[in-house]
Amino acid sequence: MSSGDICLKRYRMYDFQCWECFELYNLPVTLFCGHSFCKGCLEKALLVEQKCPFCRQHYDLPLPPVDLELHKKVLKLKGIEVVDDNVNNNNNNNNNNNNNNNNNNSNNVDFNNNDIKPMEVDIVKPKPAQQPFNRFEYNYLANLPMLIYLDLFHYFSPKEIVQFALVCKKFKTITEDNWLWRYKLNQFCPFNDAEKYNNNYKDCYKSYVKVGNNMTKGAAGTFKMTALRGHSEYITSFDHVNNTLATGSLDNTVKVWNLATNTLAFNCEGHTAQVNAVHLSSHTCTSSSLDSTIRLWDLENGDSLGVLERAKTTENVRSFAYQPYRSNTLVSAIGSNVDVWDVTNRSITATVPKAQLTGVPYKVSFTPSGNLLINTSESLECWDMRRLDRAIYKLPSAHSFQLNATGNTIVALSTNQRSICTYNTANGTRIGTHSNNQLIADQPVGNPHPLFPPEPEVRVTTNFRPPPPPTPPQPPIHAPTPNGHLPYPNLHVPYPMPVPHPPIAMPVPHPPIFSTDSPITHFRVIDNEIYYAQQNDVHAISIDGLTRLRTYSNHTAPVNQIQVNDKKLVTCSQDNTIKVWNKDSGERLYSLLGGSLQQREGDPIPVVVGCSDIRFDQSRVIGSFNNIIRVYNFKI
Amino acid sequence: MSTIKLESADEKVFEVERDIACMAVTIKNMLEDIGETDTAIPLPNVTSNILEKVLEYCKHHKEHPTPQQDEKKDEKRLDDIPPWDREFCKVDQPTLFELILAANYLDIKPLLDVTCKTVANMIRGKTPEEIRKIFNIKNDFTPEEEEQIRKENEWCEDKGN
Repeated sequence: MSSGDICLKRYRMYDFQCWECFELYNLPVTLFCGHSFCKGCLEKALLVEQKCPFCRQHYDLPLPPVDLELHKKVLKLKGIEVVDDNVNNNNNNNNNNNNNNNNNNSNNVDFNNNDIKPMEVDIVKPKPAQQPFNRFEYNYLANLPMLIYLDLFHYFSPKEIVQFALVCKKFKTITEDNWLWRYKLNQFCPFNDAEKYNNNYKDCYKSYVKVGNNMTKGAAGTFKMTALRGHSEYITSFDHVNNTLATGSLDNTVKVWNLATNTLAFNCEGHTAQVNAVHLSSHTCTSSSLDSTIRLWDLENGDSLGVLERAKTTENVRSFAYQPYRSNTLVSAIGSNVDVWDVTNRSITATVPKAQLTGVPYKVSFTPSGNLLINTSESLECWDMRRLDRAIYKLPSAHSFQLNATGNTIVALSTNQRSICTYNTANGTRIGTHSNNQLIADQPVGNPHPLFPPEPEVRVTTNFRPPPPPTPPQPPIHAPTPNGHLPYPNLHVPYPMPVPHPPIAMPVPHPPIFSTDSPITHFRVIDNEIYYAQQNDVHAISIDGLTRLRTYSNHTAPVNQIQVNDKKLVTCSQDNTIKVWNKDSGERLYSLLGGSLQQREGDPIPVVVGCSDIRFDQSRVIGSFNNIIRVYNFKI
Repeated sequence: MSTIKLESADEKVFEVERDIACMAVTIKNMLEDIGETDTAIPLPNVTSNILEKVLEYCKHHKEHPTPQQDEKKDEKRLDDIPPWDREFCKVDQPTLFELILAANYLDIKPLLDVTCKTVANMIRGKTPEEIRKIFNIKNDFTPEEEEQIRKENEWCEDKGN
């Protein structure tokens, strides 16, 4: 209001322009927020939404009557004489209107300086200036146009912005601006669900911050744990997308859960043997089983959408994978065959020639560029999906492997689980080896990948150490197994272990061997870091130098699984806990407990003791404990 | 090089090169609308001393074009003001704000950015009390209202722990 008096004496052309059509007002209506529009324009805008087209403020119906005062001014401006009849009568009203109008104008009136002479229409006689305008005392910061404030406030963090609300009322209004928060929210979390908050971006932002705080604190009361019970046997695999969770279990069923309500949505029965893997996509759930079939399930109603069944095979499905960007191309490893399926027709379109495949395949995966990676008992092979006649290159077989985020590096854990190797995805050349916490010098010499055609003798030169001793018989399943996560030891159908390499003459120089080193059970790659679990600890190494960065040490039993995002590391262990760590500092934030470790009557025998697998997202940590899924929800 | 005339609010006429004047999108659009003209373009919202500064800025940046920054970079930084611009913005407060308003009116994005950044740097790290003092803003809150706002802002306090 302070600038109102100054503004009162001047009017510009655009004070009489409708914000919708940018013409002079035709029957102007002034909304409560002070913005005026042609009646017709506003009625049109009303069809879209009931908000001021300029400042997006909600207004109530019915529309206010035509702003007579403004209308007269417009007419005067147009040169039409208006009989000024009842100015005095409407005095109160007019003042209000004027004030509103002027508030509006003050956003646009840039200079209220005395020496400015804008194009002015002298309608209201300017009152004699009470005080000469002092530009050094004028409150500029509080009277800038709205858009400039938004520009200005974009530079600050949300924490600073809410502080500004304390400066003055005008600032408070600005700090609540929806567009400002929309920008902030999209920066903070591009995939947000602002619709749920009626597109109130500040509220949405608030809730995200709250969840983030809860998730950092992990204190009692900041999360709610729900146990999803339903499976009668150990859960082998689960996958989750948004609010949908799918679990596969040794009890031959796939169950789909709704995480919004934490209830069972569908029980998918059809497999005749243990389910060993589930995969969720937007509308379907895919599961594979030891009954040598892959089944597709509808996430809308839980119905079976089809079965991928290889004729005359009774062997297990060991692995399957969807080709990136082609949701109807699936590759499966069934028995000793690797097949490419057309999911829509449920038919095999191609098969990787068995003669070219070395060993028994037990894991298939894709590189981001769409090449097929097959890990067999003998080698890790890369195939071009367009011509499946021979492999692009073959690497030594791996216990497990992953690709980094950009997909240009394959990280593989050696079959004896003692060393981690990195390879270039494009041609299979070895980049480095990490073993027993020290970098083993690269040996590009004698590493003639890519191999065309594969020559086993040469391939072996990249194999760094003698074969591991034959795997001892698996310890009883009740005890925590140091190497318990792959393959499942108590499956009725034996899960072939990768066959140890035959003893080969080692090329010189060969890396040092530490027989006392304990095996690496699991690893995870993110950005340029590899996180691997070795006994009770998790170590972080950089992918480039393969040097040790940090150690996360607090678990009291071997770590089963690692998940990591840009800020947090989540680990689960056989000590039945899930621990959340600050990824960068190595500090343990908190532990989530998974109940008693004690076997109760009627409980199925776990394949992996403790928490066997975990996933986490913005607001949830999900862990599988034997036959139960526990969801720790921080959005409360 | 053709020149055009610009008339400030206090009726001073500046003759500038067309290219320089066209850094102001508002002027550019005007010229496109009216075509060639000899009459001075009135800029009723800009005083002569401010217009002079604005033209100085335009001239400098026409001669020393700043390398195009990545538009994709969404992050807003405060510490990337070029040295010349930093010197340029070392003016008294009213002039700075008038420059902002002029840049806004004339639609000169880089000038608006740099002046906004300067103001943002002035505000950064200050308490509300300090901001009021620096910018001569009256506290129009009652203590109760202030308490209310503090309470509303609590959600933000724990952030970063």
